Amino acid sequence: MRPEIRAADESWEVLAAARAWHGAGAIDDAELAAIRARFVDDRRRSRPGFRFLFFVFTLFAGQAAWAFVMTLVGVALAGRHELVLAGQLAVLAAFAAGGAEWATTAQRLRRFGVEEGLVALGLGWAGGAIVLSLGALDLRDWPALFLGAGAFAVVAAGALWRWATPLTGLLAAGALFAALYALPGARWLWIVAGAVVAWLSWRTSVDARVGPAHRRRADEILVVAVLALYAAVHVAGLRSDWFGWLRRESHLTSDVPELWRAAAWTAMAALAATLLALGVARRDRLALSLGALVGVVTAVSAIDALDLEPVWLLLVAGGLTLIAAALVLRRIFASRAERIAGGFTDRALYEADGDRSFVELAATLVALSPAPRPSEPPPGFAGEGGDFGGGGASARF
Amino acid sequence: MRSPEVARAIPELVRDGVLPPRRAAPLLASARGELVSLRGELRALLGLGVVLVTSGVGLFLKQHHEALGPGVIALLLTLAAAACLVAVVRRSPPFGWQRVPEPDWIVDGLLLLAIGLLGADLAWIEWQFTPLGAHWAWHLLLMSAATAALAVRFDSIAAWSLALSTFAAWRGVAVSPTAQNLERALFRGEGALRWNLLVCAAVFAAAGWALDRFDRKRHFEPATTFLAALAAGVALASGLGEASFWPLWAVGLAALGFGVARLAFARRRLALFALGGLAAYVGVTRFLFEIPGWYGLGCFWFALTSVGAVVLLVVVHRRFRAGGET
Repeated sequence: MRPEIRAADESWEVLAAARAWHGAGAIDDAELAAIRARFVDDRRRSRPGFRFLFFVFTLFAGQAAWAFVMTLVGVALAGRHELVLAGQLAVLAAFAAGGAEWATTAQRLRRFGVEEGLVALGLGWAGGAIVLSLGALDLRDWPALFLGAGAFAVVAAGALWRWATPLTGLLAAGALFAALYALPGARWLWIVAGAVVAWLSWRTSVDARVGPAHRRRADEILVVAVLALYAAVHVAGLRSDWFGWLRRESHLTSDVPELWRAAAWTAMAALAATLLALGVARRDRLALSLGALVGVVTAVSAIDALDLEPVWLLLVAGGLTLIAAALVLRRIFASRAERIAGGFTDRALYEADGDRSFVELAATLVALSPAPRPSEPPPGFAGEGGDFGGGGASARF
Repeated sequence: MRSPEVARAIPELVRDGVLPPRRAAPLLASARGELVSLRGELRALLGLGVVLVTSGVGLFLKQHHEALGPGVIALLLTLAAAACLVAVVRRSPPFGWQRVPEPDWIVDGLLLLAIGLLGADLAWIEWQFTPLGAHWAWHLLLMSAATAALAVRFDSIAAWSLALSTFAAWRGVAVSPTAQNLERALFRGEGALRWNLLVCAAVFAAAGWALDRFDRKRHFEPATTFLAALAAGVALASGLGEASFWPLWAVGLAALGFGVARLAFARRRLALFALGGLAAYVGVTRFLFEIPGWYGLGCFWFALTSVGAVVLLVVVHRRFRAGGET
């Protein structure tokens, strides 16, 4: 990444924080103006909603332009033209990369949407070129996966290094683990690589010497590495032999030694506990969220393994436990001075929550909206009463 | 929010007299990660708990309604909903027609749980004792009104949106974007569903107008207007597949889209603007599919219009930057 882009990102971090402080009433107009005068961001940035629209329309325009050119040239996806198409896609990927570079340097776009759309187009076309090249070379199964995913990991890592646009970390790490999946001893490779990559990415994500955009991408890599590590040690993966399918080594056996199962359960629980402990000790929200996620999945896996019944009781008990946990935490915060306990608080802390509110609203509507009444009554309907909950009742009632 | 750049900047701002030291201290603690807010995570925890409990209660009623008897179950549900409402009342500030400043984060979650239990209770009573007889679906309207009243009393936009979606359910309209619901709304072209969607759109639009006009819970208006535009858009889009009358629906959709985009532009509402723009785009594009050999032209059209949309968005973005957006 160019130094001037990193410097602009750093200024933008301060300006975004100042806007949040102003929104929360922590600073006044004059102080905000003084901060704006001091930290100059020379990039063109768009607001979140516009950024999304710019991104989508850039993707759409690129794909439609490609389809239009293909229609004019007359090369269809059918037939034995893989290598020709792969070449065309590689050229297009290079053009998209050039466009992204031009947009970020000459046009000074950053977090704007268009340059991110161009990077996404470039990665998509590069991925297509890799897949078609492997097909043309008649590579199949694990060699194809290893080479294809490995090549894509390199391309995505290049995009991450150069532009650090969102999701490049996720794609690069995902492709890396896909490549490792193709190798012998994939489970052990995932365990070792998952632990090493998780540690390195966590260190990077809290390193003040690293630029803001690269720190965010390190967070993405951390998420992938932790999930890969968890999948590798999961007891269901041992039973169903998740890592043997591709290399035709799977016996699809459920006969796993007791010792291995115990080790898997221990590892699953230990990973959740480690993440939670790390999150609390370092006040790291991502580690806390990942720890909670892994913990919940482990609990659900245990319920499944123990074949606990009835489901309604488990749902109600689980729900009440979560509600009780939230209430207890709220009570703890309320009992402390300024609602702070162990470096955490339940107050809103200078963070704009507009986007989160929208997501929460959508999630509430999807999860709690009642099922609609049928548009026409069934034959013989005699007014026996409805079986649909009202506002907020589960649609499954 | 933890940020090394902000943590480096704050001492400089204090040294240069931009920020007073006393006010800078909490900002610095947040930037250094010494103080972290868990508000979002706690709300998510509570919300997940509410969904699990309401789902579990629904499943229990389905499986074990004979074991306890209908009267006992109705009583238990009533008591549970009342307990939740009491908890909400104890924690909520006094009623006001305007936005409540700094509401307790737990109120929304408990209110949604109370509404969920109340909804299950009403549906149960209706199912078991059939007080409404053949008009059983009216309990959804009743529930919608009750939810709206609770939303206004406790200043909950989430509950207000739920009241609107319950009204839609009364008219036979599903809000959840499942494949089945989308297929029913957009591709099956059911005339009754289309008109019900238009009824919902009209009612929501009227509610949004009234909230704004009479300055009562005005902050509920953007979500209400958005849902009205969404319902109208889906209703008109569902007619695009009709064999004979599709031009009527396409023109209507395009007109609606332009109108909504214009309103959103004036009020600087991005989500509504995007919805209006999308509706207008779909309405206009529908005519393209009637041109012989549209496939080649289609790619050209989509490429050209996407670039045009980006240019238009740049213009709109500049305009929006001049003021706030919602």
